Amino acid sequence: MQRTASQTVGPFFLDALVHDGDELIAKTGTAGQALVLEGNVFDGEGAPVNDAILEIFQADATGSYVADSPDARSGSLFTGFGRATTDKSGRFSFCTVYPGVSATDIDHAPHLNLMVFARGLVKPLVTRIHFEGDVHNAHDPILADVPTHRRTTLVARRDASNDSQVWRFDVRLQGKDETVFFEY
Amino acid sequence: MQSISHRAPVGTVEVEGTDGIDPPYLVESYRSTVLRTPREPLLEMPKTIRSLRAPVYGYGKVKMQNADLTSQGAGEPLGERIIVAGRLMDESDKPIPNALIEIWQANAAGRYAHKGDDHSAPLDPNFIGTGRALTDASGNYRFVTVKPGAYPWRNHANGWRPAHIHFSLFGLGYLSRLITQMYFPGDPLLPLDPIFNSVPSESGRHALVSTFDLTLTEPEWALGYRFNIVLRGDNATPMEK
Ligand SMILES: [Fe+3]
Repeated sequence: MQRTASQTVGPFFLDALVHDGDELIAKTGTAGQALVLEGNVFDGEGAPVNDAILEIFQADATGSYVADSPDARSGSLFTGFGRATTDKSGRFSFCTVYPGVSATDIDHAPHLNLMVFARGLVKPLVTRIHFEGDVHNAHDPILADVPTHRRTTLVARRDASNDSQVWRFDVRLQGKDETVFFEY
Repeated sequence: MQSISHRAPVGTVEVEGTDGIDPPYLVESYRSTVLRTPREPLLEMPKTIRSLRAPVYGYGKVKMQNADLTSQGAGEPLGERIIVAGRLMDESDKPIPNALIEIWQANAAGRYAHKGDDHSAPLDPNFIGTGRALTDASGNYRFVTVKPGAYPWRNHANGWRPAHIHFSLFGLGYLSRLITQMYFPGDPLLPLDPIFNSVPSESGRHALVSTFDLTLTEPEWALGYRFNIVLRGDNATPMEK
């Protein structure tokens, strides 16, 4: 069977796709190290992208994905999946826990899987968010595949000027310091 | 990069690196793509992403009435009541049961109940235009709504989007994730629409157009349109060449 083609999410998805609390991937009480991910989405001229929707899918602190568990559909503190939209300044944020190393991919460093949808994106952009200073980064095969000068675009940084739980990850769709994306 | 003319929806446009189904990121006739398209080469999708199961999302929030967009207000919305139904499958023809489908659309006058929509067409107090449903054990879904109106956009001179319903879908694998748009048969705006025509192949575009279906149509109540959706299989390879 032929796949159904992708089309843009357009600018008017708000009430349909985004609900209160969707940016909360781990509720209070989830095991692990709390993590707030903040960033901005920019276009090729550095202008804020104020109508994007971001989806994060990640492992929990032990490296397990919720979908791996047969009980996944019962209400748990950790959903493993979140959505956030960007505001006027292109800013988004998620509340979650620092991901563990997945048992099936032990050579991969802890990371968050990110999909970006927006007006002007006819299909999603897919990337991975790594964490600055993580000891596993040194042997991560994906980071190793990325040209050195672009590697930093896949790495979130701890926000020194803020609470230590806050990590910053900007998405640059095009141009200077363009984020590394994968074929979708 | 390939640009698609919105005047000539040729069926032979094949962009290198795609299978003719998904559009290339850069579609010059769709202006918003120009500054939002990556220019650097995309990396091969890591197996760690390809082999992920789909996220678990939103099942608990779906109620029966979410699939009836005509019953969300105090009264019935204005417009032509329609039934939109179909089957969700993967590329190997396997139905996808219990999958979340989210839809959103303009009202019958072509206006979204969204603060960003400044089209002068009237809002309908009885129409929000968003719905959610789960597929049944055979992969079937069914929404009741009103036929959306065409609406203007400023992409090009005298630009109008053909009537469409936005669909968001989850399949079995992470890369089954799909956001698309369903169109209506015989819409004169289809050959002029850069978004519809961003799909390179004729068959890929054809599959985005629902079909009128008398078996879905309910006498003295509503016309039925069928829209079947095929998602990438579990652990599929993106951009098969
Ligand atoms: Fe639309």
